[in-house]
Amino acid sequence: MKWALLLLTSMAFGAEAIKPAKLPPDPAFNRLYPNPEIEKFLKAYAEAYPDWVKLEAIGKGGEGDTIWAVTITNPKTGAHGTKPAIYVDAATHANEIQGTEVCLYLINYTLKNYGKSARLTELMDRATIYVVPMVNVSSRRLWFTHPATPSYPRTLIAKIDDDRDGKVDEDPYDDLDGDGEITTMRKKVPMGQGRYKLDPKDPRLLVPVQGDELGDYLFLGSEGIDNDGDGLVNEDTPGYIDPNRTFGYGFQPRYVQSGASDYPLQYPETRAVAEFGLQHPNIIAVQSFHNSGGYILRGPGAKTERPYPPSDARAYDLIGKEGEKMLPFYKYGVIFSMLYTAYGGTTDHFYGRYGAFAFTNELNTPKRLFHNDATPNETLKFNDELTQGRQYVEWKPYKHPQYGDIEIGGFRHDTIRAPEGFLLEEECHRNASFVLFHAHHLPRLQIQEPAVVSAGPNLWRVQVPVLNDRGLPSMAEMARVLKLHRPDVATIEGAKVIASGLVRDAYLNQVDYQANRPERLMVNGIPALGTTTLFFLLEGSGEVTVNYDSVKAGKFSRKMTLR
Amino acid sequence: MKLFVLLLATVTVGWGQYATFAEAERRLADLVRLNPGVVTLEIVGTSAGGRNIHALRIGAAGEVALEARPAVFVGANLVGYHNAGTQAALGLVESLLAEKTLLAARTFYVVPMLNPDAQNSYFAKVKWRNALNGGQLDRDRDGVLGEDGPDDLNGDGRITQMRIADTNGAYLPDPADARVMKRVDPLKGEKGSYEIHTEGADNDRDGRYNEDPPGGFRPDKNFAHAWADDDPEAGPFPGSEPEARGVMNYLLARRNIAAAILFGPANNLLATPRGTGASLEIGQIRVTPSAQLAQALGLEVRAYAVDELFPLLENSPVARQFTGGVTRESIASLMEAGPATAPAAEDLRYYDSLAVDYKKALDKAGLDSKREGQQSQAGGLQNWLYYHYGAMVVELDVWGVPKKSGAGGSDVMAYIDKEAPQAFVPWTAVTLPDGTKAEVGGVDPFVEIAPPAAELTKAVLAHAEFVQEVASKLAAVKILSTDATQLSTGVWRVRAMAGNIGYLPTHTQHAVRARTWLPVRLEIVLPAGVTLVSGKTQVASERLTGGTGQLKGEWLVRAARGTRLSFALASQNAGNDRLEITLQ
Repeated sequence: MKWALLLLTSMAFGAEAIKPAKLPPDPAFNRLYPNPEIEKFLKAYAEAYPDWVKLEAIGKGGEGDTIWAVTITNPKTGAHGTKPAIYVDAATHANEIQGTEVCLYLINYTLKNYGKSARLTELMDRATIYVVPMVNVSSRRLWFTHPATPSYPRTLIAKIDDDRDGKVDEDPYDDLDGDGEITTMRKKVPMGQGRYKLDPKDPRLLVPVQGDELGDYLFLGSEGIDNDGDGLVNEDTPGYIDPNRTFGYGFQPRYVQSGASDYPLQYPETRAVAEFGLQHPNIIAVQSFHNSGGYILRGPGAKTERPYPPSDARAYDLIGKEGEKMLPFYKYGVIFSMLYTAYGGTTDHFYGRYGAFAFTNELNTPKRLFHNDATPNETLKFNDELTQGRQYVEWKPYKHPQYGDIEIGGFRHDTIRAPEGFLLEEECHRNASFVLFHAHHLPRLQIQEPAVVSAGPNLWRVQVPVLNDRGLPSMAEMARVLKLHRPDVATIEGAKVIASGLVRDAYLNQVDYQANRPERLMVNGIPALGTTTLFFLLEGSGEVTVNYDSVKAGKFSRKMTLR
Repeated sequence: MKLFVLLLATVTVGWGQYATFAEAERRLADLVRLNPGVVTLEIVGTSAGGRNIHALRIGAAGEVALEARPAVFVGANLVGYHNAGTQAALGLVESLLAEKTLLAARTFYVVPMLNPDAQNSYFAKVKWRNALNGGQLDRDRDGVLGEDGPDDLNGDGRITQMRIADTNGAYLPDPADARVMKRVDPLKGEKGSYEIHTEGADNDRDGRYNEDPPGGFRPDKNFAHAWADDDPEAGPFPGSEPEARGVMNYLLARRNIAAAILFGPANNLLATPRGTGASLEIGQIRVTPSAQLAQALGLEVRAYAVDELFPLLENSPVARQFTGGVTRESIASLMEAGPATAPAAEDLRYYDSLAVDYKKALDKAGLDSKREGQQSQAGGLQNWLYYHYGAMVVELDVWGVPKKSGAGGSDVMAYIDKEAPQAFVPWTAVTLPDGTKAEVGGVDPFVEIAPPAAELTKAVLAHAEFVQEVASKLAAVKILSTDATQLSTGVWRVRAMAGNIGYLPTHTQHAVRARTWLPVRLEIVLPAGVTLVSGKTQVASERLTGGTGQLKGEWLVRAARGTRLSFALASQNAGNDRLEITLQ
């Protein structure tokens, strides 16, 4: 019934599906797209939906690749900056690849389903969606075009002397067998010289020796040689500034947080994201896509950071706990307690600097393989039975210049962290739906019927309830604590404001007065799923307008009559 | 004395005369023009207000290229109203050029005006301590930009104080000197009679005075160490402001910098830098391993001092796997000891030793060395340089009101009475636009930081001399001895030892923890066909103290008698050395 009612509301608005100016792209969501294809799609959406989609370059990656930002908003309901907004990004870690596909899915899905679903239409009429699908754009390109692992390349293009020997990036991984993949190396040694043995159930796997066993295998790590002759293998690979450790809020230097930059937002990729956040103060919700493990994470990133105010934590919990249902096998929790300590992340920055409710989703979990916990054996069985062996490069002998006779083999770079094609579309849809659920709860304010009571000749006591019927407040409590932006402001046109304040108890006539400047009533946001009642003592008569102006939730007005 | 005479020949503007931004810019251009090949103009960045932030690179031709030799960074007036700092930086440049000996072995990078947009507040029609860059900030978060700055209510061309009678105010006239307002101490039964504000009306009628002056952010609060996340004027994030970002980029691109001198309001040689925590040796830091880490390393989940853990872990292959090399510093990092909050005790010893020289220099110049210096600005450049960049950093305030002799009264009032009577403005009644009765008066905004001509000249020269003294004490690495013995036909044991013949250490103790500089590296360089029996060619040291630090390398080399091989000693900011030997 309720659904039917909403549909009617939407029909009354007259929303129809968006008529594309030209045929929009129709990507398949069962594969990972290299950067040029993503770029082509983004440009094609901008051309197909010119009124709705703005595509802009917001910066350049370390090798000159463009960082794109997509703005989606209904032009008929106001400019993008006047509406509450959700910001979505992906590939901050270049290897955490499928977040970009989720972004693409979100863009595709919202544009093609506007006017068809009442719920989505309501959302898109009142909100703005910003998407940066490839933050660490240059390294993401290299992940497709150069020999890679599931974890590399991950960080920014930066000349860092990891082993501090005066030479930079002189001992990278090496694709020794020339198969285009960086896999792993193992070596059979005389019994007692190793710490591993072959798994008796599957000799492709090594298992650590247990109890009183002796081992006859060495696990030698990723494919590579000791290029610089310092007795270490692959110890100074290209990278390592971890973009998700470079943000400004809670930043710590490298000896506290490995991967940090010399100062916050030193590198162009995350600087572009931080500047975008500064330039779009209407952002009050954020989703950053990473992989893997199946988590919906919120800050703080470290236990030493400021604790979250309880009212903000409740808003996070509403979204995160529902997300656990929308995303099977995902767990909702706090970064430092559920994952590990990480200073200087995207989500911490957007919440702690811009007052936006921010989640990091760690896409993909091994539980999705056989819909159960996956042991290494089961992971290999999945490879055999559901990918016909595509995921795994079988061990082959190799003559290593330093280790001698070894074997090279292991999982390909587009596995483990990224799902197989047949699982990708579901992951995209569920995570895009989680974004839309978060966006559904962007603050929605309505000025309710004012109560006007005479207080003397030409003098009126006016109470104006402002309702927020969604799950995010119109101002984060943390924004008040840290003075991140101005509070919401309520003003009156057409009468003189003698006094103003917030009603603490409408029935017992209790008002918290604002001591100064009553004509500019400052309100620290309308709480989630609640009402704040504004109080004005007005001098005048006839029709007046109450204006409510929120940095995050937009501007609202309502006329009333003093009589 | 010689220095003084030479200086007089080159001085174009008297030291006592403060330079405006434009005048200082012209002077920099002159210095470049008059000293070709020695002084180069560099651009650090562009301020929020669109002004250039200039640097002078100063160095004469010498054995080592300018960008490779040990360098001193000098930065002045980041706060914007510390014009004496700019004078000291310019004075230093001229004295360096007069006394050229140091310039063949050192490079100086001098940025005399780190906050150009605020540089001219000293010259403004209405003088006040303006530290804001030319950006835009709604500092009181009321949705209106810069609508409530100070106002010169009594029209005397300077912003002083304002007192408003209040029967329960927090201030009362000091019984010892009624001109001075003193904070009420309720424990002594005192009763307040005034509230104190900066001079100015409540222009936006929000109940607060002068809380949103026009202008942007404070670059001197925009650095990441101890950055204030709840102070709007500290910037939206550390490094957001072009002045802060510019100087950091400039410093990070010049890894030959061995020491940094700041001229600013703090003085860490007239007050031991405190930080916000205890100055501990790394081994004294207490850490608690997580349950996971404790299990992997075979420890208990409890607090350990790093010194307790070190012998347990130094030979543990598991610990090595987690940390690369097991050091006290890497253990602290692994166990999430967090950031340092106070200078390392070992570094304070060096500050103390420099402070002795500094005070001697002040005494010699007839300047007060007994007064207390200010602590560093939270979120400021001094702290970033020490904690994050990892440099030895000295901040000097150039001049301050001398400590008075005798009891009672304040240093400032004693100074004003003796030297600058016009710097106290007697309290006089004014009526604010909203009808509030107030009195304007108090102390001139610049009297405590901008000395008059004669004093400034003395201070500038004394500081120029002291900075050169520091520059002569930088670490200098050198290969001190070598030794080669044939152990068996064609197999030689080759040894080399390097040390630091300078006074200061190659790295601060904190830098050893922060790992912001490469270690000093000693490498054996073998000709083609000559190989090591085993091992690697390079050894390294994270820190070499002057006089006692040793970096020893020992190699087994397969080579024929008569082979010539060499040793290469490398550091980023303490020089390099190379030595060739013949095996015989």
